[in-house]
Amino acid sequence: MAAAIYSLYIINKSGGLIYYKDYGSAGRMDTNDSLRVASLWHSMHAISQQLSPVSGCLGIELLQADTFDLHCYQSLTGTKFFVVCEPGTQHMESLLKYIYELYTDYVLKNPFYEMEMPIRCELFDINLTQAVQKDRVAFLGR
Amino acid sequence: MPSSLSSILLHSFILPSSTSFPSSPVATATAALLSSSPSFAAVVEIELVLPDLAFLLHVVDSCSSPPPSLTGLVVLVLANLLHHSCNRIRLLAIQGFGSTSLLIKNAIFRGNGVCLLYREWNRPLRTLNAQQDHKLMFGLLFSLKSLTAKMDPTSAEKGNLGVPQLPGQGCSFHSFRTNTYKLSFMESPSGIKIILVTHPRTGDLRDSLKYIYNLYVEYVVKNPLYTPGAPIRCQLFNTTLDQYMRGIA
Repeated sequence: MAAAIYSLYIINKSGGLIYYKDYGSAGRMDTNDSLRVASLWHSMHAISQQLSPVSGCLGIELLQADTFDLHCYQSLTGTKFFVVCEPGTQHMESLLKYIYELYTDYVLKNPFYEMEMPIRCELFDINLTQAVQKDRVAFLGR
Repeated sequence: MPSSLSSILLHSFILPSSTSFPSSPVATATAALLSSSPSFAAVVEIELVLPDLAFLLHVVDSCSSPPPSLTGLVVLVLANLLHHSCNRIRLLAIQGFGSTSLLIKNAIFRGNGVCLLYREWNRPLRTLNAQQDHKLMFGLLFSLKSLTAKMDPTSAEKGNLGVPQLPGQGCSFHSFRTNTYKLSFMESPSGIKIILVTHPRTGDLRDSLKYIYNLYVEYVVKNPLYTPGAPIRCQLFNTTLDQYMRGIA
């Protein structure tokens, strides 16, 4: 089962993009486009909550398109982590939760990090790359 | 089978009915329908020939005995979007949702992103104003399509965000899931959008969407009294659709 991650986005609670990493997709986006896409996703996430026929909707968790899947994880504080991957990729939720843990450890506990600002923490980058690599190897190795 | 079906429909619908249809060039429609080709070409031809008409219809039915195994709610939205370039996008909405009780609601209206049919089979109360609901849904789907076309990781050359896409152009999504519902979406080459809102643990509904589109072609498009762009008031279509929905629920 293919498990390639194409890109990862982190958006803050107001919808601004604070982290974008591309892991080798043909459709790499420049900064402006990634900002627009992130804000658009934030709004779509909110509208999908309004459309729910029952109460208690927390927004889109998985979007399935023809050529990719988009998994989104929203923390309790409203920070959204979403990842664009190949269709049918399993275990993205656990990866996203793990990335959230890395975020809390290496970004939030960093005393020089300002809330809601773009993430520029080296340790976060290193650990994130390791996590994604491990994920990729684990699935492709099977 | 197609030719006999359209002749049957012609017979059943050409009789005077209680609902009044606005005057339209029925002759052209009849000629197109009697060619009885259940292909997209026939649908497009009819769309381009006939003018659009506006209706607003709410019909509420309620079922007394809900089927016990009902797990899914189905929303089907059909709307009509009039573009200057004659590219009409139809959105048919049939919405149903629920677990224990069954509520059937039929709502049709038109305009940009006009809903042609809205039916519910089971919906726990939590409704915005119906019109607002449909507009919101159309807006969400339009934007999501634009987003997926832009985000497509396999194509290098993409247009800008927000540029209206032709049906079939660019990558399109087929479903999204939240913790409370799952929405499945299909757009036909003629621009008709079919949407189903179901329980989140429903599987892939693309085949159901295709089947519903076929029902639409058979019962609505081939109805000589139906004008494309108008809200759908074909009783046979509603009945067959309900039967099908109950069958898969």
